[in-house]
Order: sequence, then structure tokens, then C-alpha cells
Amino acid sequence: MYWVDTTIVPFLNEENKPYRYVAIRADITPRKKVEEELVKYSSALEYQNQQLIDFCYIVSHNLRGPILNISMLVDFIEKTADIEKQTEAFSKIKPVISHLMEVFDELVESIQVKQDTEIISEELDLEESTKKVLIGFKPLIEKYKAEVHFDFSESDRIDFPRKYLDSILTNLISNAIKYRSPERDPRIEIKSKKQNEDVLLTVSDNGLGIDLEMHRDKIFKIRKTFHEHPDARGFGLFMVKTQVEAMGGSIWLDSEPDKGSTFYIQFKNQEL
Amino acid sequence: MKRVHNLAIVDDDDAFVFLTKEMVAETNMVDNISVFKNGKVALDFIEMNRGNEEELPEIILLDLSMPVMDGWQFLEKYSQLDPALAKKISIYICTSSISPDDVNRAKAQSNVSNFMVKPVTPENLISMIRQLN
Repeated sequence: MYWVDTTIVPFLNEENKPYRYVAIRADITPRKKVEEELVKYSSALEYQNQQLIDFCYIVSHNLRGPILNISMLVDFIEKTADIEKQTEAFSKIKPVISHLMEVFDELVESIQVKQDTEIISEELDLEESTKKVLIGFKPLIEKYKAEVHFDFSESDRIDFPRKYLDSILTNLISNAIKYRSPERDPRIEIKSKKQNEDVLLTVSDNGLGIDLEMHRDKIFKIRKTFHEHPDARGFGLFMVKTQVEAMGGSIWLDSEPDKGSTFYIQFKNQEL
Repeated sequence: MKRVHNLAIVDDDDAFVFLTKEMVAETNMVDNISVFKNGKVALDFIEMNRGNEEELPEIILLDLSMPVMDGWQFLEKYSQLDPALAKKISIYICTSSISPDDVNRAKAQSNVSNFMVKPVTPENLISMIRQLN
């Protein structure tokens, strides 16, 4: 296949009908190739730029705060003469440091995903992967009488890094159980379907749901939580989004408070 | 000089709350300090005490990044409540964010008295209380 740029000039007779024409054709395949490259390059740049904006946001919101706290606590200890207050301030330093280290480790982990462009995709069986992940949740599923249903009959295979698929399933299932409704037993449905070359995975629950009107722009941000839960860290969905996007896919959700949430993950170019 | 009867800190950050409480106590200009760990708890309290001048704070130090209801959402809900309140409340945003987006967004809020980038210092606090009088 090749690209041609053609200009046709008709010659008209007295009745204004064309009786002959001149066609000028030029092979523009190289130019088209360059254009395609440019489009790819520009969307990669856009992605990189968004990553940089996100990173600056994280530095400003998530790293500056704890560093200030440590410095202010140390100042306070130096200035105060009250031994009891000193001890109290001292006891507050350690949690800030461990918080800072946690955020730092999370950042490193997410940057590793972004930079690991060489990660190997393999053909994965969705049902088998889901079953394997569910084994780890067996105690929780029994404890909370959770019902898990899955149906991969429409599309059962994807080409994706195993580590990422496991992380996506683990995080979404864990969230569905963690943010279950106190009024009903949790029910989780995992399904997949084909969409042209892509595969769409959906994970639905009947849990607490998230108020999207309030939180839509924060759902996948690092250190954002939407329910008062002692184990809520605001890292799972951030990591899932990072992994999905690193492979060119996308993630979004529907949610209604007190009804439940459905997460959609689109795996790109799955022509298996 | 007039004393501040109630000052409220709306922040989920334990170290910041501790330090600010100490600093406020040190100024000797404030009678009561209350702490709310997110916007929702603070809003519920204000709503419940909307007609109660004794309980409402004169000053709120508001953090932006909090779980459940963050500072922006608090401001949005608060603006609907504002005319019905028994007391004029001065809201100061206190954030560790140095992002220009946040500063601009804060400036656009009519019910925000000022925007303070942490660390909050005793001087900040004293000038804030003085402005109130």
C-alpha cells in the first residue's frame, strides 16, 4: 500500500463538459509516515506532560505537607521549655516520617510502572486469573458472606502484563469488599466483552458507592479517599489507573451512593 | 483588644492541629479551639448551630485536602449556609499546597478572607486575629 496525492484538472468543451484532463500524482508515502509518527509523538508528549503535572501536584500536595510538619515539630521542641509538650511533639514526629516514607514509596512504585515500558505482555486467561486472585480473598469473602460472580464467555483472553492484571483485579475486588454496604451482603460481578479490537472488563459491586458529583475529579488521584475507613489509603485506584494507562488503556466508573459502583477497564488492541 | 471566643481548625493533619493549637494558646487571644477532621464534620456542626452565636466560631482555619469532604466542597456548601448564620465567620484557607491553581481558585472565593500557605506562624495568627477586630 502507498499514499498518493492527486490533482486532476479537467478541460471543458463548449458545452462545459470535460473532454480531457490532466492528472498530477505524487507518491507521498514518506510524508504520511512522518505525519503518523508526529501524531504518535505528540500524544506521547501530551501523556508525559500530564504525568509531569500530576507529579508536581503530588509534590505540592503530598510531600510538602509532611516535610513542613517535621520541621515545625522540631522547631517547637527546640523552643518549648515544657518537657511534657516536648514529649508530645516528639511522639508526633514518627507518624509523619512513616507517612512521608509511605507516600514516597508509592510514588517510586508508580514511577517504576511509568518507566517500565519494556514490561512483557502475555496471553492471559481472564477466568483463570480471576480465580487465582479470588483464592487470596477467600477468608474475607466468607467472613462478609460476599457473592462473587464472573462471566468471561464473550471474551476470555487478553494480552497484558500478568503483574498488572493481578493488581487491577486485586485492588478492585478488595475495594468492593472494603467499601461494602452495612445493609446488605456484598455482591461482586466481573464481566468482559469485546469491543472491536479492545476488551472491556467491568467490575460491579453493590457497596457504598462514591458521590461522583463531589469526587469525580479525584477518584484516581493519589492519597484521595472517599469513605472514613481505617484502611483507606488512596493508593489502589491511583495504581490501577497508572498500570492501565501505561499499557495504553483507560479506566472509568459509574457510581451511585448507597447503590454501588461499576469500574470499566478498557484493554486496547486485543486481537487475539 | 477584643478576644476571639471560638476558633475552629478544619484539618485532618494531626501534627498541624497540635502545633496550631499550641500557637493559638500562646497568643492568649482565643478562648476556645475546636477541631474538625474534615469538611463534613465542620459543616454539620455549623449547620446544627446556625442560630447559636455562642457556639459558632469567629475564625475557621480551613485545610484544602481532606477525606470525605475537602476544603473546596466545604466552601461550596458553606456559601449556601452563610446568610442564615448568627455570626460572621472569617475563613482562612491554610494549605501546604504551593500550586498556583489553588491560589487562584481561593482568590475567586468570595467567602474566603485569606489564603495562607503553611507553615502557619504565630505572627500569621496574631495578625489574623487583629484584622478581625
